[in-house]
Amino acid sequence: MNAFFLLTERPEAYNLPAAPTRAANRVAPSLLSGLATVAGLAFAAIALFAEKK
Amino acid sequence: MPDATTDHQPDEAAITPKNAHDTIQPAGEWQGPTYYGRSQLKQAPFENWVVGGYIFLAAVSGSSALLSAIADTVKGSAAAATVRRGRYLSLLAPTIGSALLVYDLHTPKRFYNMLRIAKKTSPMSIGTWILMTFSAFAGVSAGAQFAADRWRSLGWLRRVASVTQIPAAAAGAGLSTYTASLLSATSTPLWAAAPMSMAVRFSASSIAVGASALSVGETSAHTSRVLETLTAAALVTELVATAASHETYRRTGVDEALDGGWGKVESLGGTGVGIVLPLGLQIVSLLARRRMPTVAAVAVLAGSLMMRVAIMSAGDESASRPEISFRFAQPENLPENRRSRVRRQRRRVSP
Repeated sequence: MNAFFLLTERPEAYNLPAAPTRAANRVAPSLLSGLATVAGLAFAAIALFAEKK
Repeated sequence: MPDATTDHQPDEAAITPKNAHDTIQPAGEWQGPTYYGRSQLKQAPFENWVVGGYIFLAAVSGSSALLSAIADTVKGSAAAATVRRGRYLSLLAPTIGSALLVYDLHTPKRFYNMLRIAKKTSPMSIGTWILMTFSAFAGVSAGAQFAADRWRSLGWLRRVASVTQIPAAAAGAGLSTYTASLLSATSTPLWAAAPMSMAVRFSASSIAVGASALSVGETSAHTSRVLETLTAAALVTELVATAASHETYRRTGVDEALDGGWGKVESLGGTGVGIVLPLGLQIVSLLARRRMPTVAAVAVLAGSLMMRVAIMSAGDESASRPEISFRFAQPENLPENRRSRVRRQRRRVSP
């Protein structure tokens, strides 16, 4: 707590990523893309099942 | 902070921190200085065949529950056999899948502890609750179906199955989707590079395996045709998403993780056996005016399993190779920054 690290070189020199990101930020776009795909194919299934023989 | 003067001797490809900045490439074109060639990331602590098996069973169960619920709602008793198979197939994830998860966690207590919290930013937590919700409703639905089939006096349980299949189908959609988000929400370069196209790929593959599994043993010509068409649509979607994922891997420099054996499994097994072969067999069947052979459904199932295990294993490869993780961590290569860069460019273009 209340500590910071001053990097005097590029982050790579310390085995750190140059641009760290929050992995949790990828959850919503990923989940929504997947659910949209499932929803699209589910609507296709409804249309196909409802088709007359 | 690590010290460059430790007794670790840098190899030819590695550099010392002193001259790191001299050889750093422009953002987005990282070519190589690493910290003595050491891994920057730890590999995910999964057993890939075990967790890959769970992800596959989650896809089969979730999509079977969803498609059988649709068949029951739209076609009613005309699709009774398909609905029965779907309800029984939906038990795969709650039973064998959960056992695989507990095996990978080494003790049931860890699984129990995950039920003590609900965290909306954690796909692991979201997934745990999706699995529990799905297991409860799919279990009741399948149990009611079984009891109604076995004892005539309990025929009213079919109504219970019809009611509980709706929440099971909703949870099934989540179950067949969240596993891609689970992998994307890590620092593993191959999984994090293309979160949206990988989610589309996993989801489309889930619907393909669900439709294929339901089509095995189907006697109704109309239902067979519907399931075959749905499988083909899902496979084409998966193929497009696979191409989009590979393009992103190439652009962000993580595609080297697919150069090895697991890359071959992904391309030959996942794409060749799982997508191209069944699509080809379906075209041949259409031309010959015959039903798609069972081998096509088996190919879809086998290819989907191989694709998932290969993606997981190649992800480990990308995490263990520092040049891949460093290259991916350049600001221009990260998914979040790619999106904001596109927005900036659009603002510049618009008046």
